[in-house]
Amino acid sequence: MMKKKKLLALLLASAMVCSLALAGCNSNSGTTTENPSTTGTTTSSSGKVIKIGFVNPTSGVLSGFGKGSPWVEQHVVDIINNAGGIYIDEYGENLQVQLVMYDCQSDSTKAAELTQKLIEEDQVDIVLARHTPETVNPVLQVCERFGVPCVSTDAPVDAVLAEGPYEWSYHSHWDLETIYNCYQAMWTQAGYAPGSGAKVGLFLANDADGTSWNSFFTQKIVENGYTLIDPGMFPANTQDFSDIINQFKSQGVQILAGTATNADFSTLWRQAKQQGFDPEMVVMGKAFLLKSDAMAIGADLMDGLCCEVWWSPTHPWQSALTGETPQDIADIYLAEKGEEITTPMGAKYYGVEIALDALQRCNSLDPATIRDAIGETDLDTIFGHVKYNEDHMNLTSLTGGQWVKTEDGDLERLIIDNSLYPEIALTGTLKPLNQ
Amino acid sequence: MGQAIINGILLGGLYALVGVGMNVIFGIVKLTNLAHGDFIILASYLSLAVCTSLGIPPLLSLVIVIPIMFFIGFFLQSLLVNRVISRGPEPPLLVMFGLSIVIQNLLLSFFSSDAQHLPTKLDTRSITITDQIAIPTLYLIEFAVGILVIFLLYLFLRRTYVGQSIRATSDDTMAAKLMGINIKTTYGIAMGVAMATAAVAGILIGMGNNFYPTTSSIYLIISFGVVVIGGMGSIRGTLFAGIIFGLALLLGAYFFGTSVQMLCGYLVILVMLIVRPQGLFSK
Repeated sequence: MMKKKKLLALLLASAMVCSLALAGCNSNSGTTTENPSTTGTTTSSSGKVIKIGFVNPTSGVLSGFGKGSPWVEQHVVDIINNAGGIYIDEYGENLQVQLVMYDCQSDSTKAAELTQKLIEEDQVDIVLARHTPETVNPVLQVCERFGVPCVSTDAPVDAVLAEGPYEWSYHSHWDLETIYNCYQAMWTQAGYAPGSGAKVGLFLANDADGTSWNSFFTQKIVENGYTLIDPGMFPANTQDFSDIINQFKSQGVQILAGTATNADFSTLWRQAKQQGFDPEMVVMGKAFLLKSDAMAIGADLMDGLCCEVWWSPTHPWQSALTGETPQDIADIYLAEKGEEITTPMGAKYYGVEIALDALQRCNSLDPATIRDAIGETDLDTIFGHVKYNEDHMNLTSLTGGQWVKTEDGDLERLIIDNSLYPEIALTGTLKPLNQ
Repeated sequence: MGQAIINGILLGGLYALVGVGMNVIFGIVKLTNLAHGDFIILASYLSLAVCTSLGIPPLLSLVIVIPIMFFIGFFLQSLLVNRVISRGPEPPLLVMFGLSIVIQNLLLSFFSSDAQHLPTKLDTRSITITDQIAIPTLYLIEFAVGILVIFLLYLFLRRTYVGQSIRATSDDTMAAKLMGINIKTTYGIAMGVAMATAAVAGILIGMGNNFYPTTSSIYLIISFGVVVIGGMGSIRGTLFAGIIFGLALLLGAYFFGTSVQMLCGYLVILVMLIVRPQGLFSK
């Protein structure tokens, strides 16, 4: 009996350890990859370099976003370093730029800890924050606390602004208003205009993204004359969605919309097919932003599903800093890595652009001077034009996209709606889902 | 309601399968296998590799993946865990925790962080009973396979010489030793058997859900839940525990919404710990 009790205590203790690990999203497992990638070119006579630091979700649930680092960042930095670096007044000479990257394992706590490490131990001059509120907000908070300039990209503006105001951090991405309008433009194109009363089923997880979408979307959908079917937010990694699907099916949902991780959406969509729920249109954020995610769901299941497009190789922007276009960097990446470039890599690229441009303009390593220079950014980047407002925010473009199965069983994402940003060219036309 | 009960029971079969390997190790080796979730996902990836290289359906890949997993388990136990097992409960616990980290990172470097899925046509099929009720084919397969594996495991432990020596070791290690049973080999076989069940679970999971190297933690939690409800070391209890857990999730979702689905599962575990901490079927 005593033995049993001891065993039970042990089991419980380990269960608690595990649930902690789960809550912290594997904060205990995995290794911290320290990857200070030096540029290898000539260093200055004083031996001083400009340090730009960032944490990247190389492993963990957000690792799809983490892909491409530090290759993309190094690519941009190399262009500047090869051109001689950046002149800094305090040293009276050109300095090379060095990147310092740590893997935050997609974990918020780890992201904050490692940002502190970047600031205190590596003494970086600028911090870059990127990739979803989970790994952006904690980084920004640390930068604010330590008074270090921070250039942030790739997380909905609303989720970042909610944690503000900011003194040291500048953020750029789309906001919920734009994404709602982008979704509605696609619904309109499919024949469900505002005021039509079309039934919209919401699918949102109760994570940071889902919560901020929920309050905005539930209100907007009703305001714009749609019928909202809201089964409530679900916890991430739910294994069975039959109850949600049943509600959608019995209420005749025509449009399925929301944002979810690939794991959750793929489970929902397979079970929807099992239970015979066939909406006329699916517009889903995050779940199949990356091609590898779409392929994991499968070409047949993905055919005709819609999503927002933040960036693609065909976007008409050009970097004022490097002269490269989205197509250029996509081609270089394909040639070097043998893979297609992903959307978040565009976000990585222009974060570095903004930081380097600010340094080039202020010629100083004084934190406050760099911060002010970032604030005055007025720059054409590979992700569009960047100019921050008084809240330290900048809005980027959104167009509507659709995944289409090609004849050889591959998937292709076409831009099928550009009503919000007509300067971005269409690459296809919307095709109905159930055909 | 009917649909929720059917799905809950069927899903329970899978959960039992997820938990049974954990329970075998817990009951026989007296070891908390923190790497159990990772073993399951490892099997999903092994199956993926076999399926894509040989072009066979996932269920057929069981023939190859089960033996591989058995031997991985046997050798991990013999070469690694057995060396520290006599030094009290903590060192082997740490070894398993370390293994969990190693497996995750190996998968990450070999297969990258991309979402994966075992190619199958079964994942969208279902059998229509009435307008309101359709049984997902994959759930049905999971349930049938789950019951089959647990039944075979039961027979193996009851009827075969190896199984009996495993049970003898589990009941009284010293007496078993005196009877000439090689304890460490027995432990190795037990771990191999647990890994074989993890292989089946991993393949079924890979057919129904997308997986990443980091998906493992959710299955570790499920297996803990199943072991707590069913009772440590009870194979039969595992089956009922899986079904109770599955029903708790699905009925919870039906009555209170999907948002509290997992909470309902955890509540059942909590109630179980208060009312009957030794589990439903513990000896």
